[in-house]
Amino acid sequence: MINLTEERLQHIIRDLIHKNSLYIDTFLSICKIELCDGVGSAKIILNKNPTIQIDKNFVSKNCTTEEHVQSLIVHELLHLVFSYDEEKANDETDLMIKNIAHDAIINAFIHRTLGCEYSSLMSNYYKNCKFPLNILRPPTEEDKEFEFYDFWLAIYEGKLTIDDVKIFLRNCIKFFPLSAAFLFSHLLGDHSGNGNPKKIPGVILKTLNGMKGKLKDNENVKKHIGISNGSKEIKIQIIKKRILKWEQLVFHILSKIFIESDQNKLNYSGLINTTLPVLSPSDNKSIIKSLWNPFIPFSNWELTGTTKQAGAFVYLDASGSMFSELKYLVKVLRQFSNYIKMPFWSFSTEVFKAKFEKGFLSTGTTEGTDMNCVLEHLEKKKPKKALIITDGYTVELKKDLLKKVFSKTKIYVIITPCGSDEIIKRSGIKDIYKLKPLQITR
Amino acid sequence: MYNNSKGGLMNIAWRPRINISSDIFKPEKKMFNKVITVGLYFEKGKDPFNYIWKIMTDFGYNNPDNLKVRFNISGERLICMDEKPVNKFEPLFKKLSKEEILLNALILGLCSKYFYDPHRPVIWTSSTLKRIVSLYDLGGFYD
Repeated sequence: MINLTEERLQHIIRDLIHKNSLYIDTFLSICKIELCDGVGSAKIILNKNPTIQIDKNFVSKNCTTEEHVQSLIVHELLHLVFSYDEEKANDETDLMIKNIAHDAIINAFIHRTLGCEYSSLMSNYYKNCKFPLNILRPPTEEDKEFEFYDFWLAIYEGKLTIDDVKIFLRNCIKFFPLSAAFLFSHLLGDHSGNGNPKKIPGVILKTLNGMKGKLKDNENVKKHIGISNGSKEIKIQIIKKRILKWEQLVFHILSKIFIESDQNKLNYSGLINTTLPVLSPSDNKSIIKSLWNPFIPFSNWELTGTTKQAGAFVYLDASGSMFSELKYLVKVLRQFSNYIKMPFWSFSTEVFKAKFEKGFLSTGTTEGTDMNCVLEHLEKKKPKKALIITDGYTVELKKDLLKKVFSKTKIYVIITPCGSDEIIKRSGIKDIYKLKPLQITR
Repeated sequence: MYNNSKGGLMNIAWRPRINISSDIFKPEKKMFNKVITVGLYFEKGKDPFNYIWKIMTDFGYNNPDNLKVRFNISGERLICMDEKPVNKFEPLFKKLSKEEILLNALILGLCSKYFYDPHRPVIWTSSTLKRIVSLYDLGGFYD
């Protein structure tokens, strides 16, 4: 076991700063490091003079190498970065699930980016723990027979996000009773929830935001927090086959939003197609017809004028997880393009304009999913009603944003067959419709 | 060295794989001069940090950065290359005097993964102290 002194700890921190593999150097540089007793394992105090406290007893019992100490510090810092701006948990179970999910994702991130030398701290610490605490260490060959092994492996391969883990745990934690007192005494790091953004000084918050911003560029983090950097243009071909099963539901909702309410109709200035008993230079057929017809034929005219057009606010989820279903949804939306305000919107982690062009839907995507951008957009535009089509796999919706939007806009949500409505339901949106699975034949 | 991976030119998945190997650090090439090879030998079970720290305090210092003055460390950045296998080189450092041990520890503490930088703070961890590295003079290569 390692004999940790103040001086040695300083060198370990310096080493971590110089490695700078996780962009934590800025924060570490402004932190005071303390070696003390009775903290549990490690704790970060966020005040004007941020301090990292490391428990001497914990280190002497559990850390065999300097990499283990570094791993403990990185774990605590990432905890802070990932969860300082998260909403508070609703109840005790929610709090437990949130903490396990965060820890699992952070430990998996450390395992993949820094290697076994670092994650072996978790391997040793959670060695004899049962589910759900066992997912806080990397799986081994011996764990292959464990019933949730695939889920466990997926976390450490970087295939799952924090929200995926939360959803899974929420579904199965009732079968594995766990007391909060037991959990929090066994988890690595500080779980007292000192990351209230209101209490964190502005300078520290800025540093944390900077760290989070840099970490978002990291491929491994992108996968975990469902956020992608940079957008790209996509074109989705509109298929020819009609999907009556979905059209019925979409039309039902669209009619609710737009036909019942004339207020949503917008003044639209543009071309109006009409027929007049006056020859038009653009209608060649009627000119030819006039050569043999004794009556002046009706001709097609394109006139400019103002008309009322339905202006439905539709937001289509164009994230990576939707790509398989997107072409069918686009087809359905194309059927009702007269009811939708054009260009309509697509979203991933940002809101993009989407329009139908020559048999394609062209829009942009960043491939991640964050429905909060839709809420921000709705808050600006303030429509009376809006429709969001998504698979429901998004980061948690911000409650303050929801409150603001609910006061002005009624939101309807359509969930795709492969999607989940858990997060949407939790946010308080009541009008949720789920599309039935398609049986596509080629 | 250049070789192709599987697949022909018409294969979309074809990507050229380029392996570049260089022997510019070999003495016969005379490209860069080897300045010194440094390392330390630790008996089994001995904690490198505590061992070096004790020697340093015996010399009357309480901060490794102060050793830079004692050993008159100054000068340019050098390239550092890890010498492997460590077992082969370790015997060279078995019979070092305490002063030499301290100098080697100081140099190792100033080495990052690829560079020896005399201006950076000294970092002593088990992994840095257990390295055996050769330092090469760049001869103004990057100037």
